[in-house]
Amino acid sequence: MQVFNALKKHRVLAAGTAVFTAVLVLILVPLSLLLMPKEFINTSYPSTSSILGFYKMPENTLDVLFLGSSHAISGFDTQELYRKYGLRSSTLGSGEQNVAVSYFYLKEALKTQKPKAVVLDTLMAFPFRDSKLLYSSASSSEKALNFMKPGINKLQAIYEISRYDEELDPVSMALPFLRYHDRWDSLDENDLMIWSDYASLTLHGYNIKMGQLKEDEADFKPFNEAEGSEAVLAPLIRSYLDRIEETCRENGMELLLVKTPSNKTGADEYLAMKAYAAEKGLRYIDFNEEGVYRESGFDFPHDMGNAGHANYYGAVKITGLIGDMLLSEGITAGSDDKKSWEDTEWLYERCKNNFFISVAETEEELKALTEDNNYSLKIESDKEGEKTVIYDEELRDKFDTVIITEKGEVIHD
Amino acid sequence: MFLSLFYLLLLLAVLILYYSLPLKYRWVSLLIGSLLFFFHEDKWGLPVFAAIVLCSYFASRVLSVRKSRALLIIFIAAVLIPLLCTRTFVKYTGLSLIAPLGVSFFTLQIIAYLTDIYKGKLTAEKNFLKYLLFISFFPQILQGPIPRYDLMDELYEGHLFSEEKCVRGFQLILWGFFLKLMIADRAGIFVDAVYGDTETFGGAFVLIAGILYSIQLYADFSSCVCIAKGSAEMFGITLGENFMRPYFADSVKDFWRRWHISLSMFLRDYVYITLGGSRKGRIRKYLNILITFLVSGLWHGGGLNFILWGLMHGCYQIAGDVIKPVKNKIVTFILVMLAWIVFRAESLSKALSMLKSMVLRFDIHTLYNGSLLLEDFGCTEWVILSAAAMILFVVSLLQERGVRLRERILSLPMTLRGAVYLAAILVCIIFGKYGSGFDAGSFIYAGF
Repeated sequence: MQVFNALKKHRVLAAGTAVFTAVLVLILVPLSLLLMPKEFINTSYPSTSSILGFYKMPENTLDVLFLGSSHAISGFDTQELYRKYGLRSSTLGSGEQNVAVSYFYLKEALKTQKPKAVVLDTLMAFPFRDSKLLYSSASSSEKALNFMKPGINKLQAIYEISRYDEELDPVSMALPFLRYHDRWDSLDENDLMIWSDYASLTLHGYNIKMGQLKEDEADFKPFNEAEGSEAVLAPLIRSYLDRIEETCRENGMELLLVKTPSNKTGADEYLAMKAYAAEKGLRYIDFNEEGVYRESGFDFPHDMGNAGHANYYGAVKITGLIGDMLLSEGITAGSDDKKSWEDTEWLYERCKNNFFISVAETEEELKALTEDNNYSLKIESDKEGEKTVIYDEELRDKFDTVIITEKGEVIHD
Repeated sequence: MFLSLFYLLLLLAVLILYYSLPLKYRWVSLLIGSLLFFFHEDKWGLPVFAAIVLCSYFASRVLSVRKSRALLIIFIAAVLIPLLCTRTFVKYTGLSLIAPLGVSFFTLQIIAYLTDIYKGKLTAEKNFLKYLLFISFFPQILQGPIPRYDLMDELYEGHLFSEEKCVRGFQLILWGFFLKLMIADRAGIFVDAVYGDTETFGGAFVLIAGILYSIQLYADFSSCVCIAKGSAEMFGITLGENFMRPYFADSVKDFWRRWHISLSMFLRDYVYITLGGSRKGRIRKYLNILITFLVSGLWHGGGLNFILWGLMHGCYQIAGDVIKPVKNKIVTFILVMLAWIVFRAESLSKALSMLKSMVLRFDIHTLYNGSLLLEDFGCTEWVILSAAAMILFVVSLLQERGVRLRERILSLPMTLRGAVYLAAILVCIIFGKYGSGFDAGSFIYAGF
């Protein structure tokens, strides 16, 4: 009562303080957005698939939600799932995304979407960074949560995750301008793009991993279940898996556990996750297990961009098997708005083209792929002194620009 | 500690509680806030702190009925033991676990209190909780100003809410943030680099680091005091001045009337005058000056470099008395700065080596050939630091000339005032030095 009376008596000061605070907040919110690094803009492979695109999706248009690390981002081809099965899906994933972030991403997704199925990539259920309780770096958690909309879910995520990682400062995670304030002198045009449509442009969280494995990286052999002894599922990790499972169950969503092809996990992890799935009555498939590996027709050297991430070819195969499993579980496409997936067809084709360029082996292939004159050609020379660079005139005409560099310095533009 | 969300929320919560309670009980909210602050910042130091407070309370009650010099000495020794033990413990183990928060400051506060009771200048506070508040008052426990009991009546009187005092307090807090984030922690980057590698950074680097350290130390300490005073002012409580533009002093004697005023007054009243002051002849006076500054050096730290620092100032004062003092601000600054170079060094040998290299390896070209641009302290940092230091200089100059800046700002229309505050906050947020690699919550003087 005394406080109320005081406010009434000093109403000018009270009003002034309220206005001042409001103006400060109105400045700090866009300032935070400006200062936060945008690692998903203008990069060939963003380390974080932006949640901004997810927020732009019309409500209740999602059939399947994918969650997980970069293995999920590159392994689950959301556009392919739509094309082949009509299933509308999106991936909420990020580099080294731990199970806690996956849980809070799930909670966030349920604010606007009601998917029928959730597919969780299980890489981060086992030690990735051994010294961390959640097996992921502090920076990966920060990046994942940076662009989540402010709210109770985000605050809870920050509170819980920072408890398990002392490198994380909850205050600066809640107020990102504190953490990134010194980026002011390295701001560039990418930072301004945060307010453009480009920032939320995404293949529904899918990102094509370019390239194929080199000869010396192709050493992979799918394991046999009998080779392993069950790994330990840490209590903390298990608690978040339980919460994901419980949330799915309460919301009538099918939960499917998946391990995409990679050299990061083996039979031990497989057995542990299989036991967990059996206990909870969930389906679990591990593409590294020889049965599944063969069934999917996966070819490690051909279908992987590197030893941990599937490329386009691999993603199509992974998605194909998952699509079949979802259909067998009775997950069917909804009949509502499909515009989001129709609208990203052109982007998908563009990204696929980029992938094919990255694996092109002949000049003819390259010419065919770059016909639309939307590419620039950069020739890097490592030899000093006088030289002549000869390239096909026809090839040159195909490109928007041609740049020749010598040891990083542009000598022809 | 002050530059943390916890402190700001605590301050807000205590303010609301303070002005919600009846006048008679408002001091209780200050006590609650102080204990919460102490517990949050130093829960492991609480037992030692509680023991010191209890002992000193007991001592004050005994002294108020029995004015015994021997008892006073015993009680002062007892109060000093934790400070001396923790100093020794920290020096030899590097651990500061048992050093309660603010031990250097409240120890002097208690010594002054007990001495004043012994001398009959004041009567002991009978209410233990009020006494506890006097010792633990959260805005000033960290780095002072070291309060005298007879100045602390304001603590127990409940104050009516004053818009003006609240806004003035906010201004001071904002200024404190500016000093710390824009100047102190920024200058510290260069200073730490030089002091961290004195082999590489000799000559002119030492000179520049000395100048920057002088600015850093002043800004750092002053910022904490500003935040303390600003916080107290929001409760209607006026803490004493601790700085009066010290680098505008025109003699070392004048410097000590302007720098860490509460400590200077303590040393004057409880060491220098107790030793006899200037009443027992010239030689004795000079000896007393040296002892007083030796005590000051020891208070700041147990290392020989602190003792040398103290003795340097003692010698400056004596020299200023013996020969006609040079009343010159620049000369005074140079003398003080040379002493700060010693003060900042890790050890006496390092300090002497740095002073030697400053002279023998001095190369004037260093000042303009780009050498001062370090990896973590490039052109941009120099520009921002210079601009911020210039603001500090202009503000100090105006204050020195009697311009009451806070009143001038208060007289501006509300929208313009708001714009000034907003600009200050945004400047500190964007350009301030804090975050990863910095510990904006730690203050140099809190380590003494």
